[in-house]
Amino acid sequence: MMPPNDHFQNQIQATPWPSQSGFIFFLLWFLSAIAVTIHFDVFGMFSSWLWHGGGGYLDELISILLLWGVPFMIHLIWHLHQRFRTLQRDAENISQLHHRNESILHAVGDGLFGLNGKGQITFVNAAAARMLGTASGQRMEIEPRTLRGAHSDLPADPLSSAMEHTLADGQIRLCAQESFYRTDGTTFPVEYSVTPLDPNQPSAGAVVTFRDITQRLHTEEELNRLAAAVNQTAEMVVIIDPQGNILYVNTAFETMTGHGRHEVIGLCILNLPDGGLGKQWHHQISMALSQGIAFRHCYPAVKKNGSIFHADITWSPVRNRDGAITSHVVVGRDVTFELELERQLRKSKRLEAIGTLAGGVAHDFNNILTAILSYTDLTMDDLDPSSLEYSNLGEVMEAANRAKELVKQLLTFSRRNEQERISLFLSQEIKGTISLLKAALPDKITLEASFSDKEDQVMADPTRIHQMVMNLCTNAAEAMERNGGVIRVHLERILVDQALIERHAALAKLQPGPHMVLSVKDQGVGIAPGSLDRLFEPFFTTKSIGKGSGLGLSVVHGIVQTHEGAIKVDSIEDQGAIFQVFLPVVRNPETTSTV
Amino acid sequence: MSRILIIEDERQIREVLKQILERAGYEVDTAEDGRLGLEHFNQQPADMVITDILMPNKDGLETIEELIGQNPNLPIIAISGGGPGEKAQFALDVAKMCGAVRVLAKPFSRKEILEMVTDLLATGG
Repeated sequence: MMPPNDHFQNQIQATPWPSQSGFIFFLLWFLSAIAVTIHFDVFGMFSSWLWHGGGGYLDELISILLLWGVPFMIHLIWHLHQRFRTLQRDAENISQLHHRNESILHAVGDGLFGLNGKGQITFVNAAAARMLGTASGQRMEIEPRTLRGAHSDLPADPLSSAMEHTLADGQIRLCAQESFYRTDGTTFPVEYSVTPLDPNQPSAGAVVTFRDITQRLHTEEELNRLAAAVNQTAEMVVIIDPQGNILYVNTAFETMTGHGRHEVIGLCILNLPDGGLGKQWHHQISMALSQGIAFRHCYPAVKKNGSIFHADITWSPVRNRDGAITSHVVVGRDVTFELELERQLRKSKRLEAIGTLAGGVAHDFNNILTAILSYTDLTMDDLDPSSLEYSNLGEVMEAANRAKELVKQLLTFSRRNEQERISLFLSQEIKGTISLLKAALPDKITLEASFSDKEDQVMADPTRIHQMVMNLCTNAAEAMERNGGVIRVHLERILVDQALIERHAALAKLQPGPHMVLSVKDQGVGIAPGSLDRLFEPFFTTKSIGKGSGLGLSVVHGIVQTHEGAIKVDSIEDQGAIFQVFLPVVRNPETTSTV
Repeated sequence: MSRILIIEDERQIREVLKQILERAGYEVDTAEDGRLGLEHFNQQPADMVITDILMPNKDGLETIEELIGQNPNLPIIAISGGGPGEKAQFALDVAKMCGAVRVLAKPFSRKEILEMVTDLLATGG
């Protein structure tokens, strides 16, 4: 298809001059005239006429003039007519072209205005008029400088804008961002280009094409805001193409993994270290890539330095409007700390639970009753319900059920009594226990006790405190069984602050405030580092069979827990150990509570 | 038929549970404590584990944690003889925190344990 401008150009050039028929007519006439002239010896007649003073041959000359002149005039008139018609058509075409060009200019979405050599606006298309707030086509007596809102207050440098430069040197210029004033004084951001009408004659003027970039700037701002948010979020973000190649990683990814973005962008996600989950991890990713499956998974990952961290990741496919997957986004969080806290909490609860179970008799009673009830039930299942044996076992069942109810009542009563806590002076309770212990200890083990503070009231169950001190000292004595030594028991009051709590994981449950600290230090074999973690677990013992039940320290742990206290152990192997029990000092000595 | 592993240090309870479940048609393995229970499970995986809480060598709570760590979807019933009241309930709550899907206080009846096992194997928890 021919471009519109070419079409008009062809229309203008389609009128030949002289026309073909005119040329043929002229040629025939010319040849005829030459023939007649030669035939009648026109030149001879003409020269004779001149020589003889214009006499004679007048008629012949008139005939010749008519012969030459009339056809020439006819042809001239005819040619002028043709020429007039051609000019008329050209004028119509030019007018049409002008009109259509103007229509095109007004139809263009971008703003466009013409500048004369003085920088005055000579033409404004519809889009420009709309954006500038003026009438289209209006001649505006505005210098281009006034259009530059952002820089209009600059010093009066006449060549400080792209337009002025172009009007000066005839170079095409592009300006990525400036502000234009509307006629009402408001401004709007634009990008524009200035093209000289004639590069060799800059003062002939220029055409400025501009575009309102308000929306684009808003979009860019929005995108920049999103990009900054994604890049600076605390969670790692990875964007992957449908083939599994990494397109983007944010700063958190670099921090978490130690891998710089330049090291991983372009790599296939399947080639990243997986932290040992290998097949499962690869399988999930492969499924996600091939089938667009979203999933969430917590997995151990390897940092660049080889250390392990736990990442909780969510994998989601990103689809376009047609539902086709265009990329995948992975958002991940380092949950190593949370998992460790969770593990510690679970361990603490586990020890507390086991400690409380190990400290009671209910466990044994209920095990016995479970055996009696279940075996009886099973046996009755094999018997004829009308038999005497069945009836007798029914009595066993009834008795066992009564025992079950009785145990329940006894335990409930016992629990109420056992755990009554009163405000007591801790040093007095400990002194009583120590005097009993001293008598029971072997000769080669001595026990020294010191108490540094008299304000030592705590809310406690005296029986439990007695049991706790007994168990701690017995444990110390058993550690020194071979070589003997000194057990040092010390009680002091200290102020537990937040810094101390944060420094020692074992004290995590304490509330800041005054606490009594009971220390039991021995000179025994110490505790191996590997055993420290399991020290308070029931049945855990490093002693030989028959020497210890393995329940002593777990019972201590349970007692400390029920008194809202904490226990801390430090030990050096072969040099002894120190157990420190923290119990909160009573704030109102008159109160008594039952847990 | 589903295979069930019973981990219980009390011989009588271990044996009577085995009989109850075998009569109901299940294949039953037993172990005397948590450590042996884990070893047995690694050699012969089961569809369900029933474990006591207070046991020597490795207690039931730690055993549950390790089993769940290796088999996140394994249904586990924790049983405990902690007696009535807060202590037993606390231990059973901790068992749930460690990964047990159901808990049952001793003494329990044959009907209770069978209903729990059947339901759990049918629904997965």
